[in-house]
Amino acid sequence: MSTYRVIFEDPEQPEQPACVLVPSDNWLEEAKAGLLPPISVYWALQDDEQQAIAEGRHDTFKHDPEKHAAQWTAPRIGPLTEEEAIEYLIMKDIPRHIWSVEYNRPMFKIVKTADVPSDRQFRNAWRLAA
Amino acid sequence: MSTIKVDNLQTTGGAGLYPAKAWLLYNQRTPAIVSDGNISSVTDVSTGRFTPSYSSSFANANYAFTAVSDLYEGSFNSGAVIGAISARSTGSVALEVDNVSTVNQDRQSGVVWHGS
Repeated sequence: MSTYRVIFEDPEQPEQPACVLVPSDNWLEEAKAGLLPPISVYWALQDDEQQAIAEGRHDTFKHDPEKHAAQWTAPRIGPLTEEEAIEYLIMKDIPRHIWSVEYNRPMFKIVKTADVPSDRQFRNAWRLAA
Repeated sequence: MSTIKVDNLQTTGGAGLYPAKAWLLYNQRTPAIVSDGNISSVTDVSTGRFTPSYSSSFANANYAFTAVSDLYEGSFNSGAVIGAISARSTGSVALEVDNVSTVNQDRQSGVVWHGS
């Protein structure tokens, strides 16, 4: 099991409890084995889809075949440590406005798995400290 | 170990075969991914709500998924409904588990995705 979890809050959803990102062990193994494409491959796909949503054509949207295939055809970035893989995962799976914008307090934090409460009442009460 | 790479799967008669694109068994109580295929992470959002992200994105958002939550788990012994709570994206989908009284609950859920 992964050593880490990522706790994050969405500044656009201030009433929502802190979210917990749980990495897939299979995905982490791929990351450590050096099988991931550059993160820019996923960003290009996300950008194209966001543009389609903004233009109201998401129902008929389809990724550019070349950009979509880059998930498998782009040169691999090489083996990552678990810590590097978690940083990669933050940039891939957490909405960009949470980690790419500087706020007056932290919006995400990498924590040890053992530090995440397994009790929902405690999880719902979590807030990231300033 | 060897890997088979093909663009299309067919029966010998020529009928198309459509394997699952991703699958997930997720215990939201812990929270923990029990097992998965083509899932990079699951975000625990709030009680009964979670968002799986795919290792490899779909080509479009018009894919299908089936999902079930365990009927007997801890003190729960009633049915549950699980479904998307917002539009699917090609990289993830936000899901919610409700009991028969439409109250969100943390359960162990299995999800399988099909699509291109």
